[in-house]
Amino acid sequence: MPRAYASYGSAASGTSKTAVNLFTTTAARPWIYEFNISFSGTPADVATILSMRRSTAVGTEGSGYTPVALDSADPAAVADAGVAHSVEPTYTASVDLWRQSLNQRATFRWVASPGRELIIPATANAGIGMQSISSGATPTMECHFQHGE
Amino acid sequence: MSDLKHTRLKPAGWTQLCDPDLGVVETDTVQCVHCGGHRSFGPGTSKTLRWCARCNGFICEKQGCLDCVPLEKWLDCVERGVDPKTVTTVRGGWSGK
Repeated sequence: MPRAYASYGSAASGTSKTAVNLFTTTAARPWIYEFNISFSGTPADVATILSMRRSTAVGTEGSGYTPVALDSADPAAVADAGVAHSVEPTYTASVDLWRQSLNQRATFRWVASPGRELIIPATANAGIGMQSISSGATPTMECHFQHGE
Repeated sequence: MSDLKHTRLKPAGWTQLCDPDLGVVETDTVQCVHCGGHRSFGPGTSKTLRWCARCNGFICEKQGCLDCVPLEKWLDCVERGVDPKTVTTVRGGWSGK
């Protein structure tokens, strides 16, 4: 039976800023079946373009976030989450798995139908990240992934 | 109860936007059979997306998705270290109009 995990990351939005990047190893082919994005800070009318993108290198993480098993009896996830990047992950150009422009006051949630998840190949450091492409200001993005493996 | 206004018989996903002006807006999504990306589905969507006759599914508007490399084949190539472009056998997309 697949195991489910939750990851979280936040970052100031702007040009090419990653909130969270889920990456894997050759041992597992994880799939993201849900993500949420919202903004913290004083509400304002700020437009931010967000994208879920495939990455091939993890960049430099300021810190990591160990995915939390939704069932506490499950073992640790094979995939790992990178947050607070000082060097952005390397994203594949022009491959947006999801792209959305959001007002800072809005909250967005996506859930995949079973079998239609965003799949990460079982390749070292391959991943999918939530990145702000551009933003009218720098509100803090709060992003949450749920994945299975 | 869902307030979806336009639905698909077999949606690939579902989105929920909570906006202070618009309220809660829900949409279904379709998935590109080549890159695996999702797009919101609504009236007119099928005119902007393309269709792959080999995979029998929507493909998105990106140039890289016009060549028919099914998602599973793409994953297999990446995991084996093979350039997915080298397995392209046919130009798969055309306008969905």
